[in-house]
Amino acid sequence: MSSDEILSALRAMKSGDMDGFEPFYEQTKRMVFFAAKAVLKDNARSEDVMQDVYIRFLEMLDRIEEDRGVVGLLVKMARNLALNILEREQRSVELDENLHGSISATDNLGSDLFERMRKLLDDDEYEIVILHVVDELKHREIAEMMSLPLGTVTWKYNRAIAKLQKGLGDLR
Amino acid sequence: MNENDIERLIREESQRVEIKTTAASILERYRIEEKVKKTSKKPWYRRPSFMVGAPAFGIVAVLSIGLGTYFGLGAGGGGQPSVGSSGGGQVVIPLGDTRIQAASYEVLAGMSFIGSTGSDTQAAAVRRARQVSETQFEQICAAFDSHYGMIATLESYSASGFVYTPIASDDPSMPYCIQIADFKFYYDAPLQDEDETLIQGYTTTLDGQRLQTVRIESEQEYEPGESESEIEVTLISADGTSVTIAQTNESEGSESEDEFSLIQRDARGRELTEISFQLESEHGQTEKTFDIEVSEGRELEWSYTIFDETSTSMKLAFEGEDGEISYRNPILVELDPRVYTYGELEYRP
Repeated sequence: MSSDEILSALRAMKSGDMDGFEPFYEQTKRMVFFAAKAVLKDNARSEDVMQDVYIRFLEMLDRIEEDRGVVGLLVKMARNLALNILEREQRSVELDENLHGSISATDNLGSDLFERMRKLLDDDEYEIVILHVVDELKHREIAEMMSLPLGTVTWKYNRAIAKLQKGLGDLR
Repeated sequence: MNENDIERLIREESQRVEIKTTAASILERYRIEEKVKKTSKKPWYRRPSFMVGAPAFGIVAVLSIGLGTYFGLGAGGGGQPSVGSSGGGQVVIPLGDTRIQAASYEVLAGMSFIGSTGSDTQAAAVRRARQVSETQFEQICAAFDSHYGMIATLESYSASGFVYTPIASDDPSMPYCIQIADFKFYYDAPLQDEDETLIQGYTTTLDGQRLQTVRIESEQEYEPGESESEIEVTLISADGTSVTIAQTNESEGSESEDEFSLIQRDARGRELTEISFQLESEHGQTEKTFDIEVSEGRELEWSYTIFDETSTSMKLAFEGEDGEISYRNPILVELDPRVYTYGELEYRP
């Protein structure tokens, strides 16, 4: 990832050149996608969230400051939208089996490694690992985002890595 | 494996996950949403109901579109029986990997009958046309009735031979899902003003693979003896290509004019294909004209004039340039008292 390229594309878009969106999207989409996937765990809904994040991002483009961490903003938006979806699901009295079925089926479209990680790690650990490794957020930023003490994030991360070392040993 | 190995594995794997959404498709969706915001005359408001008429028409058009690899366009009769009695047919246009099917005038015309008159005869005719069993038809009607309280619209769905399976959703922005054949259609609650409706949604395969984003905008005005309606359906595929289908209808007394257009765009929003055709009807006579432009200015005009309400045969007259047109697989289906004709018009550039 090149932060210079992201900033350059952002400047282009803010000046009205929407050709800048494509390089911007290509540079950031995985981080946004995985921020959603860290919460939702499945690819289809994560991609939906990712699309919504970029739509909202484009809607607020004029108000986005260049010196602010735009990637962090996108990741935070993705996480919040994903959490909203989870909250709605938890409030639901009953979800149709068919809908569940379709979501479960999409999970298998993801990679085997992420499936195994899901089984080995608890929700917080999974999210922290994704945010740190894929989204390249610092533990301090993750702690702020998840409203957890920095020490807790670091401890959970180390514990997650230990679990993965043990559980993914066959991949060496 | 040490920590670095684990992190490397995860990073590598994250690069392998396929993200189907393209920048172009997001930009297209954004532009459409901005356009809707700017062109909305009055603020939309939500009403948990479903309209008979143009929105239902639009939905069915979309359903046709979603089936198989076809894009479809239905041309209704605007509630005018004289137009609905025309034979129609199917226009199948191979365009690279995408075949665009403009289809099923008669069924959708039948829907207009049902929507406007609730005619049992027409319902039966349409049902037979699509070979929906009586039991299936009743089951679907009952399901729809309990869901929306509007049997007439369901008849429109079932008339096209679809299996309708409403699926409850906890998501207030996507309040219902319809399963038809091998596809699921998730639709937002219609946003309705007095004469304008917006429906958003998306289609997926049964295993959840997202196929298209769907947006339907419609507007209709009715006064005694005359009506005007517009509907625009936009489908954005995951690869960024899109198809916009639009219909306008003006009816006054026994005269009716319909205009249809279909524009296919690539992922960058450039027009690849534009197809338009017009139907004019007066006292049971219908004239149809096709104007087709297939990229880079190559033009083709089709026209045929046929049908009256008692006709049992049809004749076709084509005028084409830069391509061959053939008519194939004509199948006559008797629907008392009329004869409907199915078949395919094929254009080979």
